[in-house]
Amino acid sequence: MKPAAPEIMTVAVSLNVNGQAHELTLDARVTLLDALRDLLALTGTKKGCDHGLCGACTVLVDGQARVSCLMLAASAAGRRIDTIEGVAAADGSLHPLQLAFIEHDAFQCGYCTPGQIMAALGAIAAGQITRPGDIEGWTHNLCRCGAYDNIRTAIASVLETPR
Amino acid sequence: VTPFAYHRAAKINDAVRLLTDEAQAAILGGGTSLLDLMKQGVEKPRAVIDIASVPEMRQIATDADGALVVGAAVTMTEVAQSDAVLARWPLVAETTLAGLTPQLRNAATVGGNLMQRPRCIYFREGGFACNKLRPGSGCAAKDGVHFGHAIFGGAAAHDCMAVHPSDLSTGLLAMDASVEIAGRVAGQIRSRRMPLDALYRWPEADATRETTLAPHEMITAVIVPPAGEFFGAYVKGPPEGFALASCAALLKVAQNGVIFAARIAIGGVAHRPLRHVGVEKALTGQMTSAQVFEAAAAAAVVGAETDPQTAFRVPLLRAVVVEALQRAVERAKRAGGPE
Repeated sequence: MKPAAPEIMTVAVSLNVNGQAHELTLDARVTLLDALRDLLALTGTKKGCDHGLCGACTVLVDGQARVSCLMLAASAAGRRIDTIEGVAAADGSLHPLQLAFIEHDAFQCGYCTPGQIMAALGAIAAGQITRPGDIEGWTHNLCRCGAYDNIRTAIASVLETPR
Repeated sequence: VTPFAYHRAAKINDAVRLLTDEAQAAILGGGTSLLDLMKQGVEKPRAVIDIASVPEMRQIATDADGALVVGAAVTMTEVAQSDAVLARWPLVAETTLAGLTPQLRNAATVGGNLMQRPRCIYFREGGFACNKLRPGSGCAAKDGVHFGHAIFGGAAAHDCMAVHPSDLSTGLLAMDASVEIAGRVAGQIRSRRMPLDALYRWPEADATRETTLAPHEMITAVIVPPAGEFFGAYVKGPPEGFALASCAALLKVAQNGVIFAARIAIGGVAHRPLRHVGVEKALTGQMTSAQVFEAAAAAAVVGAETDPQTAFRVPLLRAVVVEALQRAVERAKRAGGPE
Protein backbone atom coordinates (compact mmCIF):
# COMPACT_ATOMS: atom_id res chain seq x y z
CA MET A 1 0.00 0.00 0.00
CA LYS A 2 1.26 3.44 -0.85
CA PRO A 3 1.64 5.61 2.24
CA ALA A 4 -0.32 8.84 2.32
CA ALA A 5 1.58 11.79 0.87
CA PRO A 6 3.24 13.64 3.76
CA GLU A 7 1.89 17.08 4.44
CA ILE A 8 3.88 20.01 3.06
CA MET A 9 5.37 22.14 5.79
CA THR A 10 5.89 25.84 5.32
CA VAL A 11 8.28 28.26 6.93
CA ALA A 12 8.27 32.06 7.09
CA VAL A 13 11.57 33.58 6.05
CA SER A 14 12.96 37.04 5.55
CA LEU A 15 15.49 37.09 2.74
CA ASN A 16 17.90 39.97 2.35
CA VAL A 17 18.85 39.96 -1.31
CA ASN A 18 21.07 42.69 -2.74
CA GLY A 19 20.22 44.87 0.23
CA GLN A 20 16.47 44.45 -0.13
CA ALA A 21 14.31 42.56 2.37
CA HIS A 22 11.71 40.08 1.11
CA GLU A 23 9.17 38.43 3.41
CA LEU A 24 8.21 35.01 2.12
CA THR A 25 6.23 32.02 3.32
CA LEU A 26 7.53 29.00 1.51
CA ASP A 27 7.68 25.22 1.44
CA ALA A 28 10.61 24.27 3.70
CA ARG A 29 12.04 22.26 0.80
CA VAL A 30 12.63 25.31 -1.43
CA THR A 31 16.30 25.94 -2.12
CA LEU A 32 17.77 29.42 -2.14
CA LEU A 33 18.24 29.00 -5.90
CA ASP A 34 14.56 28.25 -6.53
CA ALA A 35 13.47 31.05 -4.19
CA LEU A 36 15.62 33.56 -6.09
CA ARG A 37 14.49 32.45 -9.53
CA ASP A 38 10.88 31.38 -9.04
CA LEU A 39 9.68 33.51 -6.13
CA LEU A 40 11.75 36.69 -6.49
CA ALA A 41 12.13 36.57 -10.31
CA LEU A 42 15.89 37.09 -9.98
CA THR A 43 16.74 34.81 -12.87
CA GLY A 44 20.32 35.99 -13.33
CA THR A 45 21.38 33.14 -11.04
CA LYS A 46 21.33 30.02 -13.20
CA LYS A 47 20.38 26.41 -12.51
CA GLY A 48 22.85 23.99 -14.04
CA CYS A 49 23.23 20.61 -12.38
CA ASP A 50 21.22 21.38 -9.20
CA HIS A 51 23.67 19.13 -7.32
CA GLY A 52 26.46 21.54 -6.38
CA LEU A 53 28.87 20.41 -9.06
CA CYS A 54 28.80 23.08 -11.78
CA GLY A 55 28.77 26.41 -9.91
CA ALA A 56 26.26 28.13 -12.24
CA CYS A 57 24.07 29.00 -9.23
CA THR A 58 26.85 30.66 -7.21
CA VAL A 59 25.77 33.60 -5.05
CA LEU A 60 27.41 35.31 -2.08
CA VAL A 61 26.10 34.42 1.38
CA ASP A 62 27.48 36.86 3.94
CA GLY A 63 30.16 37.61 1.35
CA GLN A 64 31.15 33.97 0.75
CA ALA A 65 30.62 32.29 -2.62
CA ARG A 66 28.26 29.35 -2.25
CA VAL A 67 26.14 27.20 -4.51
CA SER A 68 22.52 28.26 -3.95
CA CYS A 69 21.16 24.88 -5.13
CA LEU A 70 22.46 23.14 -2.00
CA MET A 71 21.22 25.70 0.50
CA LEU A 72 17.68 25.90 1.81
CA ALA A 73 16.06 29.30 1.46
CA ALA A 74 15.18 28.90 5.15
CA SER A 75 18.89 28.58 6.00
CA ALA A 76 19.56 31.83 4.14
CA ALA A 77 17.18 33.82 6.34
CA GLY A 78 18.94 36.54 8.27
CA ARG A 79 22.02 36.38 6.08
CA ARG A 80 23.03 38.81 3.37
CA ILE A 81 22.58 37.36 -0.11
CA ASP A 82 24.23 38.98 -3.12
CA THR A 83 23.36 37.90 -6.64
CA ILE A 84 24.55 38.95 -10.08
CA GLU A 85 21.65 41.45 -10.25
CA GLY A 86 23.29 43.48 -7.47
CA VAL A 87 26.78 43.61 -8.93
CA ALA A 88 26.35 46.62 -11.25
CA ALA A 89 26.00 50.06 -9.68
CA ALA A 90 22.54 51.55 -9.06
CA ASP A 91 22.85 53.74 -12.19
CA GLY A 92 23.43 50.61 -14.28
CA SER A 93 27.15 51.08 -14.83
CA LEU A 94 28.87 47.71 -14.85
CA HIS A 95 31.29 46.41 -12.21
CA PRO A 96 34.97 46.32 -13.34
CA LEU A 97 34.83 42.49 -13.42
CA GLN A 98 31.75 42.56 -15.65
CA LEU A 99 33.55 44.99 -17.97
CA ALA A 100 36.60 42.71 -17.94
CA PHE A 101 34.46 39.71 -18.98
CA ILE A 102 33.24 41.74 -21.98
CA GLU A 103 36.67 43.11 -22.82
CA HIS A 104 38.34 39.69 -22.69
CA ASP A 105 35.47 37.82 -24.35
CA ALA A 106 35.22 35.56 -21.30
CA PHE A 107 32.15 33.66 -22.43
CA GLN A 108 30.47 32.07 -25.37
CA CYS A 109 26.91 31.06 -24.48
CA GLY A 110 26.99 33.03 -21.23
CA TYR A 111 25.03 30.57 -19.10
CA CYS A 112 27.82 30.03 -16.57
CA THR A 113 28.85 33.70 -16.52
CA PRO A 114 26.84 34.92 -13.50
CA GLY A 115 28.24 32.05 -11.45
CA GLN A 116 31.77 32.67 -12.70
CA ILE A 117 31.56 36.35 -11.74
CA MET A 118 30.04 35.71 -8.30
CA ALA A 119 32.60 32.99 -7.52
CA ALA A 120 35.46 35.30 -8.49
CA LEU A 121 34.05 38.30 -6.59
CA GLY A 122 33.63 36.19 -3.45
CA ALA A 123 37.13 34.75 -3.61
CA ILE A 124 38.72 38.14 -4.34
CA ALA A 125 36.85 39.80 -1.46
CA ALA A 126 37.86 36.98 0.90
CA GLY A 127 41.52 37.41 -0.03
CA GLN A 128 41.67 33.93 -1.55
CA ILE A 129 42.58 35.27 -4.99
CA THR A 130 45.34 37.84 -4.86
CA ARG A 131 47.50 36.59 -7.75
CA PRO A 132 46.58 35.03 -11.12
CA GLY A 133 47.98 31.74 -9.82
CA ASP A 134 45.22 31.62 -7.20
CA ILE A 135 42.37 31.78 -9.71
CA GLU A 136 42.27 28.12 -10.64
CA GLY A 137 42.26 26.91 -7.04
CA TRP A 138 39.52 29.28 -5.88
CA THR A 139 37.09 29.33 -8.80
CA HIS A 140 36.05 25.93 -9.97
CA ASN A 141 32.96 26.64 -12.06
CA LEU A 142 32.31 24.60 -15.14
CA CYS A 143 32.11 26.29 -18.55
CA ARG A 144 30.66 23.99 -21.18
CA CYS A 145 31.96 26.24 -23.95
CA GLY A 146 35.46 25.96 -22.57
CA ALA A 147 36.13 29.69 -22.25
CA TYR A 148 38.43 29.07 -19.29
CA ASP A 149 41.48 30.90 -20.67
CA ASN A 150 39.54 34.09 -21.23
CA ILE A 151 37.71 33.77 -17.91
CA ARG A 152 41.05 33.55 -16.09
CA THR A 153 42.40 36.49 -18.09
CA ALA A 154 39.36 38.60 -17.24
CA ILE A 155 39.63 37.82 -13.52
CA ALA A 156 43.39 38.41 -13.52
CA SER A 157 42.89 41.83 -15.14
CA VAL A 158 40.97 43.17 -12.13
CA LEU A 159 43.50 42.03 -9.51
CA GLU A 160 45.54 44.78 -7.94
CA THR A 161 48.80 43.11 -8.96
CA PRO A 162 47.76 41.31 -12.10
CA ARG A 163 51.23 40.13 -13.09
CA VAL B 1 12.13 15.64 -1.78
CA THR B 2 9.90 14.38 1.00
CA PRO B 3 8.34 17.24 2.99
CA PHE B 4 10.05 18.06 6.28
CA ALA B 5 9.79 20.54 9.11
CA TYR B 6 12.63 23.06 9.30
CA HIS B 7 14.11 24.01 12.66
CA ARG B 8 16.99 26.37 13.25
CA ALA B 9 18.80 25.55 16.49
CA ALA B 10 20.29 28.36 18.55
CA LYS B 11 22.13 26.09 21.00
CA ILE B 12 23.56 22.58 21.12
CA ASN B 13 20.96 21.65 23.73
CA ASP B 14 18.10 22.78 21.46
CA ALA B 15 19.48 20.71 18.59
CA VAL B 16 19.82 17.57 20.71
CA ARG B 17 16.34 18.04 22.16
CA LEU B 18 14.88 18.36 18.65
CA LEU B 19 16.90 15.36 17.51
CA THR B 20 15.14 13.16 20.07
CA ASP B 21 11.72 14.84 20.00
CA GLU B 22 11.28 14.74 16.24
CA ALA B 23 10.94 11.43 14.43
CA GLN B 24 13.44 10.85 11.62
CA ALA B 25 15.34 14.06 12.23
CA ALA B 26 18.53 14.98 10.40
CA ILE B 27 21.22 17.50 11.32
CA LEU B 28 21.82 20.10 8.58
CA GLY B 29 25.20 21.83 8.42
CA GLY B 30 26.26 23.33 5.10
CA GLY B 31 23.78 21.15 3.22
CA THR B 32 26.26 20.14 0.54
CA SER B 33 25.89 16.45 1.32
CA LEU B 34 22.48 16.14 3.02
CA LEU B 35 20.47 18.23 0.54
CA ASP B 36 22.06 16.41 -2.37
CA LEU B 37 21.05 13.05 -0.87
CA MET B 38 17.54 14.35 -0.17
CA LYS B 39 17.20 15.37 -3.83
CA GLN B 40 18.32 11.86 -4.76
CA GLY B 41 15.68 10.36 -2.48
CA VAL B 42 18.30 8.55 -0.40
CA GLU B 43 17.74 10.63 2.74
CA LYS B 44 14.12 11.33 3.68
CA PRO B 45 14.14 13.16 7.01
CA ARG B 46 10.82 14.40 8.39
CA ALA B 47 12.58 17.13 10.34
CA VAL B 48 15.73 19.07 9.47
CA ILE B 49 17.66 20.72 12.29
CA ASP B 50 19.89 23.52 11.02
CA ILE B 51 22.95 23.85 13.26
CA ALA B 52 25.01 26.01 10.88
CA SER B 53 24.72 29.11 13.04
CA VAL B 54 24.92 27.61 16.54
CA PRO B 55 27.55 29.89 18.15
CA GLU B 56 29.00 27.14 20.41
CA MET B 57 29.74 25.07 17.31
CA ARG B 58 31.26 27.90 15.27
CA GLN B 59 34.54 28.37 17.20
CA ILE B 60 38.13 27.43 16.51
CA ALA B 61 40.07 27.43 19.80
CA THR B 62 42.86 25.76 21.72
CA ASP B 63 42.13 24.10 25.06
CA ALA B 64 44.16 23.97 28.29
CA ASP B 65 46.16 20.98 26.99
CA GLY B 66 47.14 22.86 23.85
CA ALA B 67 44.78 20.79 21.70
CA LEU B 68 42.94 22.30 18.75
CA VAL B 69 39.17 22.39 19.21
CA VAL B 70 37.17 22.95 16.04
CA GLY B 71 33.40 23.35 16.34
CA ALA B 72 31.43 20.97 14.15
CA ALA B 73 29.71 23.87 12.33
CA VAL B 74 33.00 25.55 11.33
CA THR B 75 33.32 25.48 7.55
CA MET B 76 36.15 23.79 5.68
CA THR B 77 37.31 27.19 4.36
CA GLU B 78 37.40 28.63 7.87
CA VAL B 79 39.61 25.74 9.01
CA ALA B 80 41.92 26.08 6.02
CA GLN B 81 42.37 29.82 6.64
CA SER B 82 42.69 29.75 10.42
CA ASP B 83 46.03 31.18 11.55
CA ALA B 84 46.21 28.73 14.47
CA VAL B 85 45.54 25.75 12.22
CA LEU B 86 48.04 26.88 9.58
CA ALA B 87 50.75 27.53 12.19
CA ARG B 88 50.41 24.42 14.33
CA TRP B 89 48.26 21.84 12.50
CA PRO B 90 49.09 22.40 8.81
CA LEU B 91 48.03 18.84 7.97
CA VAL B 92 44.47 19.70 9.05
CA ALA B 93 44.44 22.66 6.65
CA GLU B 94 45.93 20.51 3.90
CA THR B 95 43.19 17.89 4.17
CA THR B 96 40.38 20.47 4.21
CA LEU B 97 41.73 21.82 0.90
CA ALA B 98 42.24 18.37 -0.64
CA GLY B 99 38.72 18.00 -1.97
CA LEU B 100 35.61 20.00 -2.87
CA THR B 101 35.18 23.13 -4.94
CA PRO B 102 35.66 26.51 -3.21
CA GLN B 103 31.88 27.11 -3.07
CA LEU B 104 31.37 23.76 -1.35
CA ARG B 105 34.27 24.40 1.06
CA ASN B 106 32.60 27.72 2.00
CA ALA B 107 29.45 25.81 2.97
CA ALA B 108 30.53 22.34 4.10
CA THR B 109 31.09 21.95 7.84
CA VAL B 110 33.68 19.87 9.65
CA GLY B 111 31.00 17.74 11.35
CA GLY B 112 29.16 17.21 8.08
CA ASN B 113 32.34 16.24 6.32
CA LEU B 114 33.08 13.54 8.90
CA MET B 115 29.49 12.28 8.71
CA GLN B 116 29.16 12.33 4.91
CA ARG B 117 27.79 9.23 3.28
CA PRO B 118 29.62 7.17 0.67
CA ARG B 119 29.73 8.21 -2.96
CA CYS B 120 28.85 4.74 -4.33
CA ILE B 121 26.61 5.39 -7.35
CA TYR B 122 24.46 2.34 -6.65
CA PHE B 123 23.74 3.75 -3.19
CA ARG B 124 23.10 7.30 -4.37
CA GLU B 125 21.09 6.62 -7.50
CA GLY B 126 18.58 4.22 -5.93
CA GLY B 127 16.88 1.43 -7.86
CA PHE B 128 19.79 -0.97 -7.38
CA ALA B 129 20.44 -3.82 -4.97
CA CYS B 130 22.03 -2.05 -2.01
CA ASN B 131 22.47 -3.42 1.49
CA LYS B 132 23.04 0.14 2.70
CA LEU B 133 19.61 1.28 1.46
CA ARG B 134 17.71 -2.00 1.82
CA PRO B 135 19.38 -4.60 4.05
CA GLY B 136 19.44 -8.04 2.47
CA SER B 137 18.96 -6.77 -1.10
CA GLY B 138 22.59 -7.38 -2.03
CA CYS B 139 25.32 -5.14 -3.42
CA ALA B 140 25.04 -4.07 -7.06
CA ALA B 141 28.59 -2.74 -6.98
CA LYS B 142 29.96 -6.27 -6.58
CA ASP B 143 28.85 -7.29 -10.07
CA GLY B 144 28.89 -3.75 -11.43
CA VAL B 145 31.34 -0.89 -11.78
CA HIS B 146 33.46 -0.89 -8.63
CA PHE B 147 36.93 0.24 -9.65
CA GLY B 148 36.79 2.88 -6.90
CA HIS B 149 35.23 0.68 -4.24
CA ALA B 150 36.62 -1.05 -1.16
CA ILE B 151 39.72 -3.23 -1.44
CA PHE B 152 39.90 -3.83 2.32
CA GLY B 153 37.27 -5.18 4.68
CA GLY B 154 37.23 -8.94 4.16
CA ALA B 155 33.82 -10.58 4.36
CA ALA B 156 32.11 -7.31 5.34
CA ALA B 157 33.22 -5.73 2.07
CA HIS B 158 31.23 -8.41 0.24
CA ASP B 159 28.04 -7.01 1.80
CA CYS B 160 28.92 -3.40 0.99
CA MET B 161 31.82 -2.26 -1.16
CA ALA B 162 31.26 1.47 -0.59
CA VAL B 163 34.23 3.54 0.61
CA HIS B 164 34.33 6.43 3.05
CA PRO B 165 35.11 9.55 1.01
CA SER B 166 36.48 12.16 3.45
CA ASP B 167 40.05 13.45 3.15
CA LEU B 168 39.73 15.30 6.45
CA SER B 169 38.87 12.18 8.43
CA THR B 170 41.95 10.38 7.10
CA GLY B 171 44.14 13.31 8.15
CA LEU B 172 42.50 13.59 11.56
CA LEU B 173 42.88 9.86 12.17
CA ALA B 174 46.65 10.14 11.73
CA MET B 175 46.59 13.05 14.19
CA ASP B 176 44.89 11.00 16.95
CA ALA B 177 41.84 13.29 16.84
CA SER B 178 38.74 12.78 18.95
CA VAL B 179 35.16 13.89 18.50
CA GLU B 180 32.97 15.59 21.09
CA ILE B 181 29.44 14.20 20.93
CA ALA B 182 26.22 15.53 22.43
CA GLY B 183 23.26 13.26 22.99
CA ARG B 184 20.38 12.58 25.31
CA VAL B 185 20.53 9.88 27.97
CA ALA B 186 17.38 9.31 30.07
CA GLY B 187 16.10 12.76 29.18
CA GLN B 188 19.36 14.48 30.15
CA ILE B 189 21.64 16.13 27.61
CA ARG B 190 25.11 14.67 27.97
CA SER B 191 28.34 15.08 26.11
CA ARG B 192 31.02 12.47 25.62
CA ARG B 193 34.32 12.28 23.84
CA MET B 194 35.62 9.38 21.81
CA PRO B 195 38.57 8.74 19.51
CA LEU B 196 37.76 9.37 15.85
CA ASP B 197 38.94 5.81 15.24
CA ALA B 198 35.91 4.58 17.22
CA LEU B 199 33.47 6.75 15.26
CA TYR B 200 33.77 4.73 12.07
CA ARG B 201 32.68 1.16 11.59
CA TRP B 202 32.84 -1.69 9.09
CA PRO B 203 29.64 -2.67 7.25
CA GLU B 204 29.69 -5.95 9.20
CA ALA B 205 26.21 -7.15 10.24
CA ASP B 206 24.68 -3.76 9.38
CA ALA B 207 25.70 -1.93 6.21
CA THR B 208 23.17 0.86 6.71
CA ARG B 209 25.39 2.85 9.08
CA GLU B 210 28.93 4.13 8.60
CA THR B 211 29.39 5.44 12.13
CA THR B 212 28.77 4.36 15.70
CA LEU B 213 26.75 7.50 16.55
CA ALA B 214 23.35 6.79 18.07
CA PRO B 215 20.33 8.38 16.35
CA HIS B 216 19.96 10.89 19.19
CA GLU B 217 23.60 11.99 19.04
CA MET B 218 25.52 14.58 17.04
CA ILE B 219 29.13 15.69 16.75
CA THR B 220 29.68 19.10 18.32
CA ALA B 221 33.45 19.48 17.96
CA VAL B 222 36.66 17.83 16.79
CA ILE B 223 39.68 17.81 19.10
CA VAL B 224 43.20 17.49 17.69
CA PRO B 225 46.10 16.96 20.12
CA PRO B 226 49.19 19.18 19.74
CA ALA B 227 51.26 18.06 16.75
CA GLY B 228 54.45 18.35 18.82
CA GLU B 229 57.51 17.35 16.80
CA PHE B 230 55.52 15.49 14.19
CA PHE B 231 55.61 16.68 10.60
CA GLY B 232 53.12 15.43 8.13
CA ALA B 233 51.70 15.35 4.65
CA TYR B 234 48.55 14.18 2.92
CA VAL B 235 48.66 12.71 -0.56
CA LYS B 236 45.74 11.39 -2.55
CA GLY B 237 45.32 9.78 -5.93
CA PRO B 238 43.95 11.32 -8.06
CA PRO B 239 44.83 14.77 -6.63
CA GLU B 240 41.32 16.09 -7.39
CA GLY B 241 37.95 14.51 -6.79
CA PHE B 242 37.34 11.64 -4.41
CA ALA B 243 40.38 9.66 -3.36
CA LEU B 244 40.89 6.23 -4.89
CA ALA B 245 43.73 5.85 -2.38
CA SER B 246 45.14 8.35 0.08
CA CYS B 247 47.67 8.52 2.88
CA ALA B 248 48.13 10.89 5.78
CA ALA B 249 51.60 10.47 7.23
CA LEU B 250 52.95 12.06 10.39
CA LEU B 251 56.58 11.42 11.25
CA LYS B 252 58.77 12.35 14.19
CA VAL B 253 62.32 12.21 12.87
CA ALA B 254 65.42 12.41 15.08
CA GLN B 255 68.44 14.58 14.17
CA ASN B 256 70.31 11.52 12.88
CA GLY B 257 67.49 10.66 10.46
CA VAL B 258 65.97 7.85 12.48
CA ILE B 259 62.18 7.75 12.52
CA PHE B 260 61.24 8.08 16.16
CA ALA B 261 57.52 7.61 15.69
CA ALA B 262 55.07 7.33 12.80
CA ARG B 263 51.34 7.83 12.60
CA ILE B 264 49.83 6.65 9.34
CA ALA B 265 46.25 6.64 8.10
CA ILE B 266 45.00 5.53 4.72
CA GLY B 267 41.76 6.51 3.04
CA GLY B 268 39.67 5.90 -0.07
CA VAL B 269 40.10 2.13 0.11
CA ALA B 270 37.59 0.89 2.69
CA HIS B 271 34.21 1.53 4.32
CA ARG B 272 36.10 3.56 6.91
CA PRO B 273 39.39 5.45 7.09
CA LEU B 274 42.13 3.19 8.47
CA ARG B 275 44.84 3.86 11.00
CA HIS B 276 47.60 1.54 9.82
CA VAL B 277 49.71 0.02 12.60
CA GLY B 278 51.51 -2.28 10.15
CA VAL B 279 52.91 0.69 8.23
CA GLU B 280 53.79 2.47 11.45
CA LYS B 281 55.78 -0.59 12.62
CA ALA B 282 57.62 -0.79 9.30
CA LEU B 283 58.81 2.81 9.82
CA THR B 284 59.49 3.11 13.54
CA GLY B 285 63.19 2.90 14.41
CA GLN B 286 64.24 2.91 10.74
CA MET B 287 66.28 5.48 8.85
CA THR B 288 64.40 7.71 6.40
CA SER B 289 65.30 6.06 3.10
CA ALA B 290 63.65 5.06 -0.16
CA GLN B 291 64.00 1.40 0.82
CA VAL B 292 62.25 1.90 4.13
CA PHE B 293 59.45 3.88 2.49
CA GLU B 294 58.95 1.10 -0.08
CA ALA B 295 58.78 -1.45 2.74
CA ALA B 296 56.20 0.71 4.50
CA ALA B 297 54.18 0.97 1.28
CA ALA B 298 54.34 -2.82 0.91
CA ALA B 299 52.94 -3.15 4.44
CA ALA B 300 50.08 -0.81 3.50
CA VAL B 301 48.75 -3.12 0.79
CA VAL B 302 48.95 -6.37 2.76
CA GLY B 303 45.51 -7.98 2.77
CA ALA B 304 44.15 -5.98 -0.17
CA GLU B 305 41.52 -7.95 -2.10
CA THR B 306 41.40 -6.90 -5.72
CA ASP B 307 40.04 -8.03 -9.04
CA PRO B 308 40.79 -6.78 -12.57
CA GLN B 309 38.77 -3.58 -11.93
CA THR B 310 40.46 -2.66 -8.66
CA ALA B 311 43.96 -4.08 -9.25
CA PHE B 312 45.38 -0.63 -10.12
CA ARG B 313 44.60 0.60 -6.61
CA VAL B 314 47.41 -1.48 -5.09
CA PRO B 315 50.23 0.33 -6.90
CA LEU B 316 48.30 3.59 -6.45
CA LEU B 317 48.11 3.07 -2.68
CA ARG B 318 51.81 2.20 -2.54
CA ALA B 319 52.63 5.35 -4.51
CA VAL B 320 50.60 7.69 -2.30
CA VAL B 321 52.14 6.17 0.86
CA VAL B 322 55.68 6.68 -0.47
CA GLU B 323 54.93 10.24 -1.61
CA ALA B 324 53.30 11.17 1.71
CA LEU B 325 56.35 9.86 3.60
CA GLN B 326 58.77 11.74 1.32
CA ARG B 327 56.86 14.99 1.75
CA ALA B 328 56.62 14.54 5.52
CA VAL B 329 60.41 14.12 5.72
CA GLU B 330 60.97 17.16 3.48
CA ARG B 331 58.83 19.23 5.82
CA ALA B 332 60.64 17.94 8.90
CA LYS B 333 63.95 18.90 7.29
CA ARG B 334 62.75 22.33 6.27
CA ALA B 335 61.62 22.94 9.84
CA GLY B 336 65.19 22.41 11.04
CA GLY B 337 65.10 18.72 11.77
CA PRO B 338 67.72 16.25 10.53
CA GLU B 339 70.36 17.50 8.09
